[in-house]
Amino acid sequence: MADPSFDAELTRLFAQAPVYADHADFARRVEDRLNVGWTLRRSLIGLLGVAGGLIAVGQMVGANLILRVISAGQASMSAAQHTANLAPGLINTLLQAAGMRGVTFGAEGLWLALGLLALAGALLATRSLEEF
Amino acid sequence: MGGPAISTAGRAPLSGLHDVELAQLATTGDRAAFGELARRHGSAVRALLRRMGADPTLADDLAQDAFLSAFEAITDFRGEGTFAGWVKRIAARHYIRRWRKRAELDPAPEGAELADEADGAGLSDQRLDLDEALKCLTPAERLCVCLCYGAGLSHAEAAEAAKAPLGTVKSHVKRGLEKLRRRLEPADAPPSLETSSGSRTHG
Repeated sequence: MADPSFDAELTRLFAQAPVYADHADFARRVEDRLNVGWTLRRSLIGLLGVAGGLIAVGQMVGANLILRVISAGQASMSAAQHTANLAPGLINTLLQAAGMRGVTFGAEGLWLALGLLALAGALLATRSLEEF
Repeated sequence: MGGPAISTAGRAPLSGLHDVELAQLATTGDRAAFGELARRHGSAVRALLRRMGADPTLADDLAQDAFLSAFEAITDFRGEGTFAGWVKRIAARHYIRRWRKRAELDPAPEGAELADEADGAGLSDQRLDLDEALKCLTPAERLCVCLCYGAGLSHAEAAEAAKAPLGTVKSHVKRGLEKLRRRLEPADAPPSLETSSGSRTHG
């Protein structure tokens, strides 16, 4: 081995890696570990979602939230109706200005907002788990 | 990173794709594409770890860990170097962490280096392969030579990875190269008087 080319020769020798007989098994083990990790991650997210949902339902039932929301929705509808009866022209003008003509906001709207909030939270949790 | 594996239907077989294309598929969570990369380069990574001094079982474990780390950080691979080189550097860093822990717990005896050197001095007439030749190096020399020539790190990068002074790494590489030269030189080659370590452009 000549002196000037020793570095190149050594680099070449290092690049000459043997191909082990079990190289396919090695790749399969890597894939298996990747799949296990992915399955565990999905399971963890699912379990956390179920646990969070159960806790949320428990809290809502414990606080009698559903009845409160329904009564609050009815009260708001009644107040809106009363206001509309008092000043129909003003209400219509305000709704038209806001582009919300015909829109009413009651218990359904609140549930929709809560659902969207929960969805956003789940997406955020998923993204966080993927990143970290 | 995540998502189900992309179906191979309607695209070229994985074996026909370039490493960069497979890495791009892996960024979408395609674990089969990444498995193809592991199939292509697994042996090279395992061989490097064995040359660094890991036993076959440890080399396999660390190589798997390196590929898993590579999958998690696949977006960092931009195709500027080779995929194999990128994973080798990850694997080398995994091994260094393990090696440093072991070195702290079980430091090598002082006389080992001298004994190895004496054993290697009279064997220049034998043409040995690289794996055998590396065995005449001390663990530190072997590690540094493998980092620079096997994993493609510069001296500075090797020093940073090994958390060792740059001068120490350069000394280990220089001594390691001298020993390797004596081991790898064919019997009919003229005796060399100086090392070529200075010609390498490693930082």
